[in-house]
Amino acid sequence: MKTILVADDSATARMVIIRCLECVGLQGRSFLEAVNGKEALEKIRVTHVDLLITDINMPVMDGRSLLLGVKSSPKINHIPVFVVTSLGNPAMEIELKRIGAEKVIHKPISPDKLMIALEDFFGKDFASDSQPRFP
Amino acid sequence: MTFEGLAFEEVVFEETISPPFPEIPEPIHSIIQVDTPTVGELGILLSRQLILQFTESIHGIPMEEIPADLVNDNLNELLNTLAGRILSGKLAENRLYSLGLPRSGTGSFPQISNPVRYLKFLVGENFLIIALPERFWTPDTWK
Repeated sequence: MKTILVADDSATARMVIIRCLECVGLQGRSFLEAVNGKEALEKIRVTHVDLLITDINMPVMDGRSLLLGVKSSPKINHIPVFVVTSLGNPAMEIELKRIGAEKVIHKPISPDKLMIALEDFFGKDFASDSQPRFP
Repeated sequence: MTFEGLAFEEVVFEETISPPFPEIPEPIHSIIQVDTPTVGELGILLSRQLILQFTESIHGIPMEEIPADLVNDNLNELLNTLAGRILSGKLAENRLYSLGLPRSGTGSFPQISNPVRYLKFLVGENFLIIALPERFWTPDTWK
């Protein structure tokens, strides 16, 4: 089972992201949810996660710190991180990619935006269970 | 305006207004601070019925079953997304920015710490009010 962790302090945003993932062919995956970066890191440390999708603007630990935490840890830095954020201008996107984000998707999220990011990173067969870049 | 993409509703700018505002039944608001650049607080004010309508559209839950915390969450997310989109459109491409966390509450706008301009938008037969900092219209803010 492929596991996707969605970190966002908004229940609405988490629901929309998961619904979009299901819309683009990832229904049946295991979706984990976290309300901030700290909770996301705790889940990543005890659960196998294949893809992390995170917001930036969160209480307790924001998405930037979560991204840095994931990418600075040899045990989990292989996990692809897609950032979904309303904070989307070119400077922000460059900064997030510099610190390790594989993809930056601007809110409001849509299935189309998510599909483009998934295909671009994982290839057209991203929904396949044999997808090699989905660990 | 990005509300159509957020809440599947057509939203049309009507006019700039000043308090006292037209009566809003069961008003609910959310405020967010723009930390960088120093723009100030911006906010949204609308009726509980209208945010319930948005929440029903987004979540697919009948209005009468929507819990209060989900209404506030949806309103905050709406404002957060709107603020990000507004700033992205105004800022120079090489300029980083940051937002605080949105805070929602019942009633009209609380005291906003900076001068603001109030914009009224029509949503069908309802309306909502967006408070934008006066600094928003100052070109130096965005350099």
